[in-house]
Order: sequence, then structure tokens, then C-alpha cells
Amino acid sequence: MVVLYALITLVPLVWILLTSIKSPPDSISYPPKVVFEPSIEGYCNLFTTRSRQTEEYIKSLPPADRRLRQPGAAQQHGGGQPLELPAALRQLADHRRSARRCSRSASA
Amino acid sequence: MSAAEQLAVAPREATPAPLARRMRGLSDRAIAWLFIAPTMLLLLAINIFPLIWTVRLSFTNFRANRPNAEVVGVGIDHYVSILTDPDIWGPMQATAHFLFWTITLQTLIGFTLAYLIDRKFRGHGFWTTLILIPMMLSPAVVGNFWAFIYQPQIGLFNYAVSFFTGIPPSSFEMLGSVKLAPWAIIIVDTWMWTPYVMLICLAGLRSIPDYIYEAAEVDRASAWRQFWSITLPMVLPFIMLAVLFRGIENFKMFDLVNLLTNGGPGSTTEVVSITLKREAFEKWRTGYSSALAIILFVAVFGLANIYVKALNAVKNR
Repeated sequence: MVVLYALITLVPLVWILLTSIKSPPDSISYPPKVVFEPSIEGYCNLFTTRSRQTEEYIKSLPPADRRLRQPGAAQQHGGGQPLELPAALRQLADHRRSARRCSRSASA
Repeated sequence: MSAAEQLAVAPREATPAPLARRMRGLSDRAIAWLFIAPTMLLLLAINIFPLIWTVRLSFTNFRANRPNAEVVGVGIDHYVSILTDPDIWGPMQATAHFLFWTITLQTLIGFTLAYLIDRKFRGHGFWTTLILIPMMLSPAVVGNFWAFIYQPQIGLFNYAVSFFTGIPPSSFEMLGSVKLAPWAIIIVDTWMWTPYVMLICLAGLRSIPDYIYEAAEVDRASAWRQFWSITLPMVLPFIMLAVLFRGIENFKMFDLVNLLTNGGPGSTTEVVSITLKREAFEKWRTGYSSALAIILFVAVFGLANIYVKALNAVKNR
């Protein structure tokens, strides 16, 4: 009885563990796949990408330094340090690229 | 002067004279207060102060999204309007329904499990650990992944139900239908917190000394009779304690409900804490929601006190 209960309660947990190592198409397939090719894409993206935006979207953003250098821009941000937006965006794009590499090597 | 004496004197002499004079003036009690003070200050700042501030806000028309607007005291208007509002019974009923079923299911399943585990079958330690896992997860994680499992098209739950009963899997939505949504939350809460009740019951069962059972055996009491006359009365305080903990927790249940249905569909699963959130952070009626929070606090506090009285009566029987 106890063993049966333990096994039943563990089903959702095991399912989430399995889903964590599925590729995106596998994780939303119907009927649910129990046998699949494991991929660590999810973990790769989790630890390398800090944004869900695509690289194209981030590139299409207007260069932030132009806006920030306008007179009075500093006051808009409370007069503190000007935001280091371009550097942060470049970092994001780099993360994105490394994530791609990561997932490619994982599927290879 | 021997070396030992020198060592004993050294710290006293090493302390700078003014500090030593000052420190010597402190009594033990004062020093104790000095050491407790940081913790007390912290507790006052993060526990007591917000509570008092909430009480203060509940008598005003303060709105948190308009910090510069003039704050006017409105007396007990908020309390009157909440307590005379017939709509407040919707969330109250949802809470009562949730509370009743979660506590019933958790106590029944939890006690049964504890009773079975107490028989000490092979590898019971291992299985107990496995059963305890859901309790250790963060409610945020549990809410999110159960929302994924309940997903009507691709979710595991609908698939499993259709696999065993033959109902088409997309014909029902656990989180989207008025009838099933409360039960979806009850299932998740039961799944998550039954181990907790089980743990407390197990502690109670383990605390029953074996010699009572041996005496009952000598008196030729049947297993059934032993259960009703020894096991149940002696575990009852523990079960009641578990019910108290789960009751208080589930009265203010917020995390799971917020993640799974957010009070929906409509307001079928809107428990009081969700109402509170909607009033405070969607309608921004901070004063009104503070009053509601105080009313809930008083209600839980009163009910819990009555319950503790009953618990003590059972314990001293």
C-alpha cells in the first residue's frame, strides 16, 4: 500500500524530471512521450541565456547610448549613474550565441 | 607570579581601562539584553511593525499606487463595508470548501500511511523518504509544474485519465472548468501536504510505548479493539495538531491557487487570500484590503485559539 502510494505520488515528479531533459518538441508532444532522446537543451538555456528575446530582437533595439547621452537623460533616471545598457545588451547577445552553441553540441 | 596566573590576568589587563570600567558596570541582565536586542529589533522591524502599520492603514483611504494623494482617515468604514458585503461570502465559501476537503483527505491518507509505515515493513525508511519529497519542493515549482500537467491538450493528467477511463482527453479541463477547478487545487494541495500530516501522525504513533500493546495482548484484546482503544486515543492529539497546522496554512493558502488558477475561472476558486491580492494589487484599495487582512487575521487567530482549547482538553483527558 505504502509503496503503491509512493509510486503514484512520484509520477508527477518523475514526469517533470523527464520533461526537463526533453527537447522542446518532445516535451509538448501528444500522446506524451515516455521514450525519447534526452537533451540537455533546457539546462543549457537556463544557465547561459538571461533573456527569452531573440537575438534579432535585441539587435533591433535602438542603441541605448544615444538616448542616454541626450541632455537631461540622467535626470530621467533619477540622476544616478547612467545606465550601462549597451554593455548589458552585448552581453545578452553573447549569452545567446553561447547558448546556441551549447544546444548544438548537446544535440550532436 | 606563575604562568597560569599571568594568563588569567592578561585579558583583564589587555582591555583598555575606560572600556573595562564601562563593561564592569553592566549587570548580567543588561548584557543579556544587549545580545538579544539585535534579534528583537529585527523581529519588531519585519514582523510587528508591518502589522501595526496595516492596522493604521485599514482606517484610512490610502492607495499604494497614489502615494502623493492626501490620506484621509475613514474610521471603521472599511470594516463595516466588508462585514456587510454579501459578496465576501463567495471567497469565504471557496475557502471553506477547500479547507474542508484538503484537511479531510490529508488527514485520512496521512494517518493511514503513517499507520502502515509504523508496521515497519522492509525498507520502510526508504519509502518514507520518497513519500516526503513533495513536501520539500517549493510551492512555486509545484504550482508551475502541476499547471503543466493539467494542461488539457498535452498534459499528463488528462492523458492518464483518458487512458484509464476512455474519456477523450481534451473533453475536460481541470483548471478551466467551474466544476473541476476547485478539485484540481485540492488534488495538488493533498499531493503536496499529505506527507506533512503523515510525519506528525508517525511521530504520534512512534510515541506509544509497546508495553501498552503487550498488556492488551495479555488481556486478549483484538487488533480492532487495540486500534480503537489504544492507538486512536493516543494519536488523537497529534492528528489534531496536524489539522491545526494544515488548517491555518490552508486558510491563507495563496501560492498554489495563485499559480494554478489565479482565482479563476471567474471567481470559482477565489479563496480569501486571492480576494485580498485582487483588492490590494489589482484595484489598489490598500486601506480596504488592510481591513480585510486584519479581519482574516482576527478570524484565524480566534478559530485557532478555540481549537487549541479543544486540543488541550483532549490532551488532558
